[in-house]
Amino acid sequence: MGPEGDLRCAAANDVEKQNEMRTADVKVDDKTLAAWEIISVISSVLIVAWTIVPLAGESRLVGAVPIALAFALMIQSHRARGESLRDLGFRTDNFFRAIRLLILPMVIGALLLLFAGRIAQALGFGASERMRSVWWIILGGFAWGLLQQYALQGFIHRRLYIIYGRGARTTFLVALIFAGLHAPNFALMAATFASGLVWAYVYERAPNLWALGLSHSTMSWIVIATLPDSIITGLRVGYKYFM
Amino acid sequence: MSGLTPRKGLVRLLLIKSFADLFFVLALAVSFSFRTFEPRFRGNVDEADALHVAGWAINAADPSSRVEVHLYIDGRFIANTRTGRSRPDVVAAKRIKEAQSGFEFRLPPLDPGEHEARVYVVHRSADNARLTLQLLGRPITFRVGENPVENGSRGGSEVRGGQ
Repeated sequence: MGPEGDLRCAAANDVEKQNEMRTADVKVDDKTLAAWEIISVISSVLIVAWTIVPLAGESRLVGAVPIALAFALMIQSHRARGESLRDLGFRTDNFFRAIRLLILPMVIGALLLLFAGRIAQALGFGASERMRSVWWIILGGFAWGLLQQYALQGFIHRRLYIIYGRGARTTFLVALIFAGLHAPNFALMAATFASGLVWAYVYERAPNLWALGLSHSTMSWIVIATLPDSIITGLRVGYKYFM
Repeated sequence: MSGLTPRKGLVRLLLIKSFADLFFVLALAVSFSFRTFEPRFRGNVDEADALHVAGWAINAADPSSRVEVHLYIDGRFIANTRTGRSRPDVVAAKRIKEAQSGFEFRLPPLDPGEHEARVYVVHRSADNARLTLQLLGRPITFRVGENPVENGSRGGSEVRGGQ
């Protein structure tokens, strides 16, 4: 083989090496990939909670950027993993099963909150001005609850399945992440940890996001209506908590 | 291999999102810094004695504007004023093009001893939500003597520090 042949051979080796590197780029372990996805979505929420308000005021347009990125990621992730809306929990066949699982912890939680509110003499049932709007409670509250449950259960919980499988550890981690995202509002962190455990437990047995969204918005309203603002500090989290 | 493309797309999207998050936060921080702590103020405190503190200041972003300055002596607010005094010496030194950049504070009677003067330029953020003070030059130390007559002349005060 002459010098030309050697050159051709070397060029072919280079192309082969480059292809190997490209293949290696996407050879990310599935568990690592799932962990990266979770961290990425959490980081978007943290950016909104901790950097938008101090650095850009309360600009909704700026705040929409990390949220849009997170949604783009979640949607692409569902496509890449072949997950349907039904897989995520947007379904109706198990709605009543999910409600049956939710009803007892919700009643217990509501009674505890009523008791705590009575002690704190804070039963307001609409103390907040915006809570007086029925449409805000029904539509805004439900949409907000559904959105959070989709991100928490339909995405984070499902990615934790990939890493740890189903079980108590995953349920615990879902609740821990949910509580962590409500830092530094300690009262809300405690409430979201407890409710996060229940919602993750129910999602594992009856993955229905409609029921969980309903439960989320109902419990949020009960928390606002029963506990004094000095404890829940307007449900503010992140940097806003200090304002 | 059919599952490789969306998966590869996901890895790419994760990489892009990570960089986008990083640049987004960086852009927010830099934009906030520019809006809140205008970096284009120039100036100096040239003189300080028992009777007055003087210097010059401009906002390079808007050289013709009058800059608001605050005087603090030993950490206590004393007075505020705006630039507007002629400073041909600073223009001659080619440090600025705007002649009306000087300021001067007349001081109230101060206790004998050593004092530190700090002059801050005032910056209001675009929406007036934040008002920030930025130190002009360096703090300048001066001495006030026991003798009021001596304090009446510049020679009676010792100036240290400044640029």
